[in-house]
Amino acid sequence: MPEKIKLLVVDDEELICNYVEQRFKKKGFDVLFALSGEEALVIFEKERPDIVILDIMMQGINGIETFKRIKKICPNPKVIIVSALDNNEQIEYLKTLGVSSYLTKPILLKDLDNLVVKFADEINSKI
Amino acid sequence: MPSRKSSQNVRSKKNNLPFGGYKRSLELATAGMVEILDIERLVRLIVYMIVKKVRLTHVGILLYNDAKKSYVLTSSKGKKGSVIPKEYIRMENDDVIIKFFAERTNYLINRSGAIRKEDLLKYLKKGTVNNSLRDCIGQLRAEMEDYDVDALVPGYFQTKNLLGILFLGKKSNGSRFQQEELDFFMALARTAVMAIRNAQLYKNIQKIFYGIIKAMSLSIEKFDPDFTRPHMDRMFDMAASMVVKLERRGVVFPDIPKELFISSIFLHDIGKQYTPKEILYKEGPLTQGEWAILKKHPVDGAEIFEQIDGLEEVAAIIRYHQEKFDGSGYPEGLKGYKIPLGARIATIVDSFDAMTHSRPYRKAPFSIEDAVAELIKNKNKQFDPDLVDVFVEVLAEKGMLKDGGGSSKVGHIFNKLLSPRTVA
Repeated sequence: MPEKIKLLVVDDEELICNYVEQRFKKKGFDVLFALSGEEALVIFEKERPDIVILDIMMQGINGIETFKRIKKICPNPKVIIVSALDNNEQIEYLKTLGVSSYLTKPILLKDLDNLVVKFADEINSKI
Repeated sequence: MPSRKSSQNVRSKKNNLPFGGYKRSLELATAGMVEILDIERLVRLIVYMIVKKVRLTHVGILLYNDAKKSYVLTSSKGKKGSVIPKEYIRMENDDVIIKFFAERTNYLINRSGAIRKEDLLKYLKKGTVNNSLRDCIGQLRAEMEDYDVDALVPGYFQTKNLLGILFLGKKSNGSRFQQEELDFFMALARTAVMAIRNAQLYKNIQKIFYGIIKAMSLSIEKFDPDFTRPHMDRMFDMAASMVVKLERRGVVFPDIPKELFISSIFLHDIGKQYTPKEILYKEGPLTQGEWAILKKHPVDGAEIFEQIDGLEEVAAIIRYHQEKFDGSGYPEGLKGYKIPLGARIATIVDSFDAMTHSRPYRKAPFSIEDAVAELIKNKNKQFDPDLVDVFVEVLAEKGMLKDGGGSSKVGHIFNKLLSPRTVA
């Protein structure tokens, strides 16, 4: 029985955090959430989640900055960006930073599920 | 079996109103819905009415979104963790729920046209179900499970186009959805669809309308040296701020939406397209004859909009934007409050901008402070005195005055002006 995969949801909308938390708990994940970039970094440092679901537009340090700082703690984090921003420049910029998974709000839930499962499989196959 | 049935009857009487109650609450709920033209407000109201009627773990409205070419969960309410956050998810046409309702296959899961999760089970137990239907029902169940909903209620317009779907979570008391409840929701959905379509069409018409206003205002740019985009943007901004301020003080605007009211500011000089260029661009003073020609532009402009039913207010603003508060303006020499409010606002905003900004043929003649002094000097002459006060307040709030209208010499005048007064 492999250890539960740890998921961190970062969004300044609490309802989104609650929803994603419940959803993935039901699917057998260990889920933490943070309502800001600052909070996310503290949790990341302490808990070392396997996968991060990260919003971009947040008060304080935004998702992009949060991503950069996460990368300093862990060079190859598994991060899924979920943002309402939908312009190509933004997405291109995120790619240069090393973001490989990007979903635009409103999302298709199956896209989020698939990405999380893909990352989870990668993690499990390494163990 | 009989005992189970009777206990259910007791429960339904205790927890739900008899059918007449539903009918009455539907009438109450939907009265006036079609009057609401703001889609967001409308869907919020629908969600609110459902939650008020039946206690549910969560409710959501999935609505077709033209721009996104998919169905977006537009409004929701309910228990933390269960409620699907609004604007967070969308569903595309290939989704099994959307497909099921959009294709309206001729078998019915429930006679009302809604889907109840428990009915799906019943259906599966029937021997007559073929494999592809069994597949479809299985997927539907899985997805309802996934969204944690017990019932789905579709809304169609023109009987075949799926506009949206109500997502209904579990009932808080654990009981099942009664047939009469589903009938209620279907009826509610039908009215809601009409109201939402109505609001969408209204929004589209408005969009086209403002597009035309904008296009027309661009055409003014071609012939009027005073009309430049930045000038218009500044005027628009100031006028909008004044409208907001006046509304807060309880000033009721004429029978036109305030967006339209403000848009008419863009169009006030449209009659100048009939003024010869030699006059518009002339450097130095105009002769009496030239003045007479220039003075025709408010009426020429108004006549364009008088052709359009419902734009009488816009036409009036254009016609009277050169009138002066003391009656010395043109074209009719209207005096005081006989001049429409919009025209009284337009003249202040226009004069101020003309005083404080350069034009192609001259430099800005006044500093902001001097221009304000000029407005104040001309209270009751050219301008409505109360509206000048409001205008100065707006300038102060925008930080356009030195010291924010605080302690400078001019500031003292402002402080005096900022004392609360009623606006006619």
